[in-house]
This record gives sequence, structure tokens and C-alpha cells, in this order.
Amino acid sequence: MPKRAAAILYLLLAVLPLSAGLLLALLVSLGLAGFLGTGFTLDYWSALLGRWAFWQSLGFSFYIAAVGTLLALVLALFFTIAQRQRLQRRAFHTFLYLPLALPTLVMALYAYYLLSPTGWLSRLSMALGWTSGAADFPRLVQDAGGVAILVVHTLMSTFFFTVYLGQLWPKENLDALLQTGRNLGASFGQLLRRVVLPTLLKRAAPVILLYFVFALGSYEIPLLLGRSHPQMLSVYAMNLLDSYQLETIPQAYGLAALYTLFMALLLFLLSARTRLKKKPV
Amino acid sequence: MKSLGAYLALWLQGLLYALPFVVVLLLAGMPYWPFPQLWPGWSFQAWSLLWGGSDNVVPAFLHSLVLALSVGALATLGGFLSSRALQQGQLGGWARRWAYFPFLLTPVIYALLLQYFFTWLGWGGSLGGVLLAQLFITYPFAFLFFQGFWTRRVQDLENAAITLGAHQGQVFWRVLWPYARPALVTCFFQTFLISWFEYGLTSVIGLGKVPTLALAVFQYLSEANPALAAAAGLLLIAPPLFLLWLNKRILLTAAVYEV
Repeated sequence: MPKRAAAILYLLLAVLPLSAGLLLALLVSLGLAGFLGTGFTLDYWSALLGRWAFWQSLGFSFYIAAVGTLLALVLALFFTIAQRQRLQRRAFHTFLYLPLALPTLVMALYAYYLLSPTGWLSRLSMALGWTSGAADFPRLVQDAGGVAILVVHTLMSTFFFTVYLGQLWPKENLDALLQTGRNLGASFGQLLRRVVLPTLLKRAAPVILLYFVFALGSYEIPLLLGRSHPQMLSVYAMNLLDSYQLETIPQAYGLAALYTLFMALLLFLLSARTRLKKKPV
Repeated sequence: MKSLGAYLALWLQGLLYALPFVVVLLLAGMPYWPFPQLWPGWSFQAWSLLWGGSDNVVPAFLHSLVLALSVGALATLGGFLSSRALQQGQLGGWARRWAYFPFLLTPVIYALLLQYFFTWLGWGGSLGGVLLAQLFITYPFAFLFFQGFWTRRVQDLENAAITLGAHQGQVFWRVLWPYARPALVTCFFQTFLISWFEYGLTSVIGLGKVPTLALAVFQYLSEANPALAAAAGLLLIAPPLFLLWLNKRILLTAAVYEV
């Protein structure tokens, strides 16, 4: 492919749609485009940033992404460290990959019929005599704490992190490092704190951050398992767009622009960090 | 103590990993599961409804298949050819890094940014529109995927073939294509899976008029129809399970994107 054609293709499919979308979102949110565009105004931005629901949505998204990622990391580290001897076995390796075949929608379906008041856990607790009906079972789906959303995020991230950390283990030569540490008289706790955790977490940091970012923008899971208040950012943005009140549409565009700019900042910081690391001392 | 930890981890992992498959299989096999019955009775009614009844899922399955195959093929081919022409160093740092952007952005927010243009051009609610929108995500992914492929070794191979008298066409078909085939297959399946699982972008740009399997699962779930949702969900799982059997690495990248 000639260089010019390749550059045009890259521009048309990778650069233009997103930059045009971002520009439009900024213009609409500033009252400079769209059917509500009557001239420059910061009204839509102040309305968006003045909404308590927006800040709640932001906080809720960060809470789900942070707690889900942290729990998944703890579980994945436990699985990897406890099962380090099995990591080289082919059957175990395949077993680790198996849940990666589960899409978010199927995991949401699973969580709903496991955790809802008429779900399997509720039926089990009734059969065991712990509860007397669906109403007695604690609300775990569409609840204020986002338990079901958190469960799905934690599980899906655990599946991925376990595979990833399992791949890092031999690459980082951790078995040999542990043996050296043992020969030098280090306890299991010391080996964990001084060797295993710093090595794995340092190497996995970009992937952990990536997963956090993906969880932050999650859509299908909170749409199915979350309640109408508080909502995660993506669901909140779509609700602003689909609202019957027309003035919320520029606010939805404002939120989308804000989210996109946040991602751009993140990308910039990550690139700057990589460049800094590559710089010769 | 160590072996106790290993056994505990194995049991917990086994439970966490197997339970989703068990629950979805149970749900797919039981159209009626009255509360507080612990175990449902088996029936294949959901499957017969899916394939022949009023809830015929065949169009959604075919749409998903056509979309995923086309998106996979076009993104892979486009990414492969253009990344060769714009190899590292020829594209400025920020221009290249921009390709990470659509991949980082949540698809539904990207769809929100694009929706106006698709409606304005009259492409919203059409299969072609959804295909193009999915290419906006999968093409940058494929481009980045192949950025690491064009190494010094590949360049040396090309140079060696040219020195031995091969023309451009022969270099491409006899040297590059066979050498790149494993990477092309991996990229094709990864982009296939991104499209196959895609929900947010498809629902917004497709305006609900382009039925896909992911949309069908969502719809059955919203209608509180667990048997049909699970049966359609099992169809959704089938290709990744096949790919797992074929190549595990393909699933790893698709899993990152899924969350």
C-alpha cells in the first residue's frame, strides 16, 4: 500500500472520527452547534458540573473500578502464588483460560440469576432455612452498593489477572528468585513482600491501570445490574442523551467530551512515563 | 500450610470458574423455574423457541456472524497493509499514540460522539453503519497490533528476496504473507471477537435496527426471559470456546477489551 493511501486510511478510520466527535461534543456543550446552539454559553457545563448526580456517578464509577480491580488483584495474586507449581501443567493452563470465553453479558446474566432475590443463592438460603422468602434475602442486585456490578467486575478481572500473572511468573524467573531467597534464609512472608509482590505488581502495573480504565467506562454490566441512582458514568451519559428534557443533551455531550479528555490526559501521562523510562541516564 | 493454601485456592478457583458455565447451562435448559424450587426441570423448549419460534434468533446470529467476519477481515487487512506503509518512526509519536485512544475509550461514549454524524449521513440503523463504527475501534487495534510485526528481521527478509531477484508482488505473496500468516490469523480472531461481543456501539449506532446476538442476550435479559437469554448466551460463548481450543492467546486480548 502506498504511504499516502495508508496515511489517508489511518486518518479516516483512526484519527478523524474521534477528533470530529470530540470537537462536535465540545461545540454542542458550549452552545455553538446542535439544535440548541444559540451562541457561546457555559450554562450546559455549569448545569452538568452543578448536578449532584454527576459527582455521585463519578464517585460511584471510581468506587466500582477501584474496589473491583483491587479485589481481583488480591484474588489473582492468591491463586497465582498458591498454585505456582501447577502453572506449567497444560490442563491447568487451559482451565485458567476457560472463563475468558465468557462475555460481560453472559456474566451479567449469571450474576443476576445467582444474586437476585429470586436467584439461586436466595433459593438455597430458603432451602437451608436461613430465609423464609425472597423478601428476606439481602438486596444484592440493583442495590445502592452496586454489589452485583462489583461481583461481575471482580470475577472478570480475576480471570484475566490470573492468566496474566501466571504468564509473568516464569518470565520473571520467580521460582529461581524464591529459591535464592530461601537459601539466604528469608521467610515465606519476606519472600512475598520483598520479591514476589514487587516483581509482579511492577510488571503488571500498566495492565492493571488499563483494566481500571475499562472498568471505569463499563456500560452493559451497570445497565443490567445497577439501579437508576447512582449510575456509572457511561449509563449516566446515555441517560442524559435520551432524557425527555432537551437541555440535558448538550450536557451529555459535555460529559462525553470530559471523559474523552480524561482518557487523553491518561494517555499523555502514560506516554510521558514511558518516554521518561526510555531516556538514557 | 502451603499445600492447604494450594487446595483452598484450587477449590475456590474451581468454584468461581465453573459456576458461571453451570448456571448458564441450567438456565438454558429450563424454561420454567418457579421460586423457591432449587433445581429446574430440564427442557429444550428455549432452544426450539430460539431456532424456530417467535423469538427466532437466527437473523441476530447471522448479522453477528457477517459483522464479525467482515470487521475481522477488513480491520486485519487494513491494519496490516497500512502499518507496513507507516512503520514506526515514519508516523509521529502523537499520531501513532492516537491509535490507542479509540481502544481506551468506552465504546458507548465513542458511539455518543459519533451518533450525530451517522444520523446526518443516514448511516445510522444500517448494517453498513454498524460495520463502519466497529471498524473505528478494530482498525486502530489492528494497526497497533502490526506495529510490532515490522521488525528489522522482516525488512532483512524482504531485502534478501529483492536481492535474489523477486519483484514486489513475489516479495509480498511468497515472503511476507507466509511469514505474517500466524499474526494475521491472531489479529483476525481478536478483531472478530471484539465485534462478536460488542454491545454499546452496536446498540447506539444500529438504533436497535441491526439485530446481533449480544443485543438479543441483552433484550431477553431485560424481558426477564432467562432461558432464552442463556441459550443465546451459549451461542455467544461458542466461538470464543472454539478459539480457546485453537489458540489461547487470542482470548487474552479479547478479554481485556470485554470489560
